[in-house]
Amino acid sequence: MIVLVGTVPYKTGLYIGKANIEGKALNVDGISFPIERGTAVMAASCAQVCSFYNVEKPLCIFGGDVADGKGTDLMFGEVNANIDKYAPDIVTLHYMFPKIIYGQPFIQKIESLKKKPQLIADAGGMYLMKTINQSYFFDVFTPDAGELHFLADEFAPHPLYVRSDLLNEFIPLKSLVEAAYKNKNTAKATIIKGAVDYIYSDNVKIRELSEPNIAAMEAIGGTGDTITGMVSAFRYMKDADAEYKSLVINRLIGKEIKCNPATQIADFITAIPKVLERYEKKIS
Amino acid sequence: MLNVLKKLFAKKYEKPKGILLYGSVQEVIQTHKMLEIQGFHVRLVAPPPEVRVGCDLAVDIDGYIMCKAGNMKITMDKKEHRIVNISGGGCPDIPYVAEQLYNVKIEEAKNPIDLGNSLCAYMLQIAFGALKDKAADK
Repeated sequence: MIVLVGTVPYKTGLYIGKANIEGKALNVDGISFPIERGTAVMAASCAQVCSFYNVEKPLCIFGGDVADGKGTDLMFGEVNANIDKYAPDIVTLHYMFPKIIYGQPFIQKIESLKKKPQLIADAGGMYLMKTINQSYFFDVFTPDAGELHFLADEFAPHPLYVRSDLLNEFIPLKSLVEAAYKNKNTAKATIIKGAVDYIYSDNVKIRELSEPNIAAMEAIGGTGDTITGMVSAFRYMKDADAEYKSLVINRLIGKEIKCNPATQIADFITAIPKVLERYEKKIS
Repeated sequence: MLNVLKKLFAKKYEKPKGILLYGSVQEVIQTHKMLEIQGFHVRLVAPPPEVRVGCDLAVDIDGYIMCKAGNMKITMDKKEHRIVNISGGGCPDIPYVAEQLYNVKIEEAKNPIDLGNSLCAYMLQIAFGALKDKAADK
């Protein structure tokens, strides 16, 4: 099973349930969450891919967090105590307050499982794991270029604290990736999202992707979250090209819906099945 | 309570009296808090272009301007200055902050740091300040 863990901007509480798309909203545990940005976007894109290929829908463990960190507390309370009950094959960590106290207990809980699930992290989940030096315990990180600077800085506990010399100089992306891997501050596979997307595995560039080139996508909130959600689904299906497929589908959606910088991410989610259908026909 | 009273009775300035520049965002945060506690009216703004260090960049895309600061991006349309998208970040207040700022004219928008309280909100504030400067054509 895919287990998606993250906070949503909703009243304090713990919301657990399978992800169901209902128009432009995501229903989890009887609550309709708007698909606007963050964890709900990640979960919705994962659910769309699972639904298209007719595989089991992801289970969401959401913490309703109104920026006071209480939802993060509830969410990790459940995950660090009970994740074994969900028999996870994939665990994806997303938006959250990167509270250090929950990091090591999470790792210990995962280590206690009979079979280690694949671990994916983005956003606050990625910040947390980097900060407690457990990045390499993870299988996939999905940083954007700004977050790559953070992974390359061995001391920064958050992208805010990246030291200025990393920002001042023009440092090639390759060097930043090398620095991140050298200090084991990224996962085994790293997807760097940007105008050009890169897939690295253990410091080796596997692939890069720049077409179709849709400049507006960088401005649209959630276009990175969709990648994390789709990678979770494709990895669950044991697709050998999970990372590449997620990146190319994301770009093809941007092209399909003719997005501009004001496009809202829900339009991307809606278009996933149509673009997947075309993609599968083309490669078959 | 004391801080609220200090703020309430602090001398109000019509025009800014000066700008403080720092080498790191951590220093900015600490100083900002310290000055507020002392009752000063302070506002976080993007540094002048000549001293920026590359973490706050503006990009023109088809009638829109996007400003970036670290992991945060904010975009407005050039015509009406409405905020059309906020991207990036990993802290849970960002979706809330984005919701509050969406479709609001940047001149009328609240500061991200007044809406959120995370480090990502601080980064967004820097991008927001740069975008606001762009809107004022500075």
